[in-house]
Amino acid sequence: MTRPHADRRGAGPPALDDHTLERLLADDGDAAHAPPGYAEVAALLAAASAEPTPDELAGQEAAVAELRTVVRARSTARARRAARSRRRRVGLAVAVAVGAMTIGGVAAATGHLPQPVTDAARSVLTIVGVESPAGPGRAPASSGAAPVPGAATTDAPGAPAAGAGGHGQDQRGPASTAAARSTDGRCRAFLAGKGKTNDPAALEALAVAAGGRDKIAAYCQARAPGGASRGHGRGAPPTTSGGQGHGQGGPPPGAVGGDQPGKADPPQGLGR
Amino acid sequence: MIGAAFPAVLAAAARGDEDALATLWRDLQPRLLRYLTVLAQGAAEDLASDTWLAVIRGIGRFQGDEPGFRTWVFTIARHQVIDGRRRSARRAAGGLPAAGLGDRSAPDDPAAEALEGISTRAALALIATLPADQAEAIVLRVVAGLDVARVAAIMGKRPGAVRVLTHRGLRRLAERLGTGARVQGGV
Repeated sequence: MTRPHADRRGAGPPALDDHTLERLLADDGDAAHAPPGYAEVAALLAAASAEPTPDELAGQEAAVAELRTVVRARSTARARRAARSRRRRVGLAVAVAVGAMTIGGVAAATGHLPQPVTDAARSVLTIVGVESPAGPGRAPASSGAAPVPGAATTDAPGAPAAGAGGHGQDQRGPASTAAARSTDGRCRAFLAGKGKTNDPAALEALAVAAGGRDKIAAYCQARAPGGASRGHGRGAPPTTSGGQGHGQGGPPPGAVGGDQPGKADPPQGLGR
Repeated sequence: MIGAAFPAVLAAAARGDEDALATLWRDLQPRLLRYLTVLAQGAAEDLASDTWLAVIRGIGRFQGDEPGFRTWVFTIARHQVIDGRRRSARRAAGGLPAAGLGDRSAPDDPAAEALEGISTRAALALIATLPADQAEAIVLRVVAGLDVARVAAIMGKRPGAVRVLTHRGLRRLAERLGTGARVQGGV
């Protein structure tokens, strides 16, 4: 079929003004009201915009099911992301709290914090093995559990309660098991007890270390910095001897074995 | 057209409500198919599916009324067509209607069918023989039911340009369908 498409002499449909154009495009397809020459076009447009056919609506169930799956998957993923970010935020809060305690510890060392904070800081610091200055003979925060905020109960290494026995901040009972295990701990016990001890095994170990039972006293006194007087002294300066082994800091030289619970010495560099 | 219930339907659909999704789908899928058939022939169904996936991904962020939503959906559909063409230039070359000439008739001679009652498919096939922009403008106006401003936004053209395209396309259709333009065999 050929078309005189190039030939528009009077045979072509008239141009349409905007109003007529809009009317033609309007969705009614009434050929009777179409502009002259456009009746068929009106019918064609009506057909183009006719009701949906069954073919076009086929697949509705599958399509809708797929879309619902996508919505559900997206909300699940969103919920997971939110939960992850919540956990991260909690972890961040913990880390910030611990960090605050550490920083607080630095400030405490310079004496610029109130005592309870200092104690709390110290208890945390001893967990991580940082030395802190002796306080004025106060009892150290017992176990550090109370002053240390909840941070310590989650991620902080060695919750104070767990470390209490290890670093012997609170001198309760005989020297902690961990301390007793260390030669220094045994020495301290020995010196404090002036040679008497409840722990024959420890004594034996000391004897081995010292090269003889009769040599224990000298051996231990040589080991303990500051000499024998440290057996009962208080306010001993921070020593590295206290900081050996994780959680084995043992009681401070001054208050050994829990014999002098009242004379709590602030721990110095303990817990390590 | 969904009408006054549209805001509720939209919100429910965004939550994955089955009925709401079905309502949207029934309203838009036939229109999408027709639009995509004119632009991309055999790829229409796949492109429609891709369009819906993109719609559902963004539906939670959409804000607007029903015409705005429809405009958004067809904009997505248009992007699917363009992306499809980029992915397969070969397919696009075969799929584009003949540009500017109009001497390519649809296989089942919709011009002849026009007087006997034309099917939707035939009508679209004839529209598809128009130059691409003219065809698209007409389909968006008539099948998607969008006004000049929205069609212009979808096509990235000025409203005046859309009017010109529409006008030219309708005139060309009139030429093909009008008794004055058709040449009867043997006459």
